[in-house]
Amino acid sequence: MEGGTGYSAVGPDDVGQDMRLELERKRLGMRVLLETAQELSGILQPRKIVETFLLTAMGPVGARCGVAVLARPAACEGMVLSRGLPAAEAEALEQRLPEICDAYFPYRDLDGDFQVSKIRAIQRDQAGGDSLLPRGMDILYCFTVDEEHCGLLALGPLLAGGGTALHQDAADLLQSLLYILMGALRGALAVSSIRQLSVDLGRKNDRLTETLAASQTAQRRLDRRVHQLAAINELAGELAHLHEVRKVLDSFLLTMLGAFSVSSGLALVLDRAGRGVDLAIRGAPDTGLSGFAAADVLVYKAFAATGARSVAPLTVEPVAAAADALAGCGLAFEPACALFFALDREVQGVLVLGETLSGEALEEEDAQMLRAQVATLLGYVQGARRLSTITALNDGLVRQNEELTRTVAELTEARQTIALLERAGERVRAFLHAEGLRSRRFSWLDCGVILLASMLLGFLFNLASPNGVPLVPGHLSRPPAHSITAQKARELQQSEGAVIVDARPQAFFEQRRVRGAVSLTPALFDMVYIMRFAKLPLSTPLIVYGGNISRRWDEDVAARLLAREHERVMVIDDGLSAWVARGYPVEP
Amino acid sequence: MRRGLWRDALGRWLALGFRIYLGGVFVYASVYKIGYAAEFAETIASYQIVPALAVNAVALALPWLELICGAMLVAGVRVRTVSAILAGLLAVFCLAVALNLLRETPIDCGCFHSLEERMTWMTVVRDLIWLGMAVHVFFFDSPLALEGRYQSKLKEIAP
Repeated sequence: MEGGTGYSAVGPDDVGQDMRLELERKRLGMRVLLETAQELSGILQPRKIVETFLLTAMGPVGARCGVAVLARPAACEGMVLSRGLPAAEAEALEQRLPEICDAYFPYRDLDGDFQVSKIRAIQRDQAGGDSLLPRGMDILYCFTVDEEHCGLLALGPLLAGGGTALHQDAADLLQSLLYILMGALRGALAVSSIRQLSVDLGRKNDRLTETLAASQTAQRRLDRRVHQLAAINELAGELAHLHEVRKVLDSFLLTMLGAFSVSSGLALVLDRAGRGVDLAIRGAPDTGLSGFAAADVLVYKAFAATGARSVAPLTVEPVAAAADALAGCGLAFEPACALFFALDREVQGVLVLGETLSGEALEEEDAQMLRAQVATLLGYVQGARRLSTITALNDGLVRQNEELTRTVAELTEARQTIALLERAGERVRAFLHAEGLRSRRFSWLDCGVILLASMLLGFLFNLASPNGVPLVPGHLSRPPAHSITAQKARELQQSEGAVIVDARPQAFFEQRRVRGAVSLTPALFDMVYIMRFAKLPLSTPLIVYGGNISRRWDEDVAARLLAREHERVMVIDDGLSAWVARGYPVEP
Repeated sequence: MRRGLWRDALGRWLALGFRIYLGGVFVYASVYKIGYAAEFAETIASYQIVPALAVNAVALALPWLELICGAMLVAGVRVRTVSAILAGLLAVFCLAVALNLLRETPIDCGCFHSLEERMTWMTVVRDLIWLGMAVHVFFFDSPLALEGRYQSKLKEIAP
């Protein structure tokens, strides 16, 4: 700023001197421009550039005060820098930026259609902003930096003579300085703009990175959700074919464990009316929860932890602080999430899931989806229970139908039996009627029956009686005795003194007999034999007679005589009748 | 009325008397014969009518036939059949006795005991009277018959 005193030292003494002074002024001016350009080129902040420029410009011109404005007329914003002004006035001037913009940059309404790199020297009273700038600042230059920025430089009053008119050389120097300023400002603004763009780009990059991470997270969630939905979709198809509550629970639990990546869990349905428990447990052993008492305690604790006052049918409630609420229920794993559900007032249940494989807690969306799935499970469980009831009723109906069929068959059989018995009764009645009629008539059949019964009784009694008789006469079962004719008998009687024996009963003997015959009947054989035949020689011929169609007494007596070792025992053919026919003597 | 009473008395009630009497006679006659079959067989053989092979069989069956028929007659069971059988027996007895009377066979009747009275024509007459009683019983229903009660029950069951 040493060149600031050059214009006041120049005087028109001589031409050489003038030329030398002229050259010295120009050299000084060039030197100022060079230094200004060098100084401004190293500054990147527009404010700093303007401040530096203001100091640089005031020196060569010789102004005591100076104001520099850099503004964006379109946005009505910018900066107001001053030198040589009191602090209050400088502050007030900064507050007047909008008015300055309106007064000195009216072309801002031309939508940026103004000429770049244009420097206009304006009169103070031309701009309509006479009252805005401090008094004495009559050197005014408006310039445009770029399409958005424009500036105002106000200098004065001058040190030399207190005037306001600027020498032509000074004016040229000032315009040159302004060009340098404009260039520096453009560069600074460009650097600032690039820096701003870089910052914006960095922010956008960060935002993009965050967005990418968020999208990746969302993608993972979406993938998990798709996996869950696919599993749940398969579960829906699988559950539709299951008809038992226990199998429904088992399949549901398995799907939920896979869908939410949980290592262990249990699903339990408790029927208080029927005192039944349906339990499915995965990833942990059953610790007795299949028993009604333990299951009742678990369900009650789960219900108590929901905070609900009453059990509403077909509702699902999350169990708050499942680990604490279900402590002491005999669970074989640490519960991380639990849901209480109720089909009705009597049938309730609980779904308890352990920790996830990653060790993280279930997200809110997962919990909501789990709750929705449990609500869906209620429908399947209720359907299975109803199907079970229907099946039981159907089985009962089948059994009743079978019993009814058996009863009908038995009734049919009984009816046939009754019909048969009725027919038998008819036959019996007919038989009895016929028998009744027959009993009053003579019947050959009755005769035969009575005769047969008589013979049978007679023979049986004879077998048991000590006085029984042989059924076949004795002479038929032994060889017949030696028989002779009546003539031969007569000869033996006369020649050898044969004894004639009459074997017939005594009455016949007494009625008629061979003369000289001795009565010896079978009935009195032993006694008569001892009396009359015991002393008879065994060689004496004994001629027996006395037989008829009904009895061969002669054969019987002959046999008994032979048994007494008589050697010559004979029987007369045709007995007494042949003897009489021969005319042999009889008696009486 | 009186004819009806007479008819009733001469028919049904007389038949009852004949029934009981005749039945009692045959039961009585059968008892001894059943106990002494050998003697009865000798009696049958004395008649000289029955072949030797059948004598003992007849001696065993005939007393039981008399006993059964006598008992049924007294009880009033199958009265017509029984009276016909007894009538047949009595007819055979009459013929047998008559035949042996004509043969002058010296035998006893043998109707009740083996050794009793000698048979005579009175025996034939007696048997003929019993035969008449049997015929009467055959033709007239008699009261107090066991089968009568059975008949009344039968009418209730199968009218």
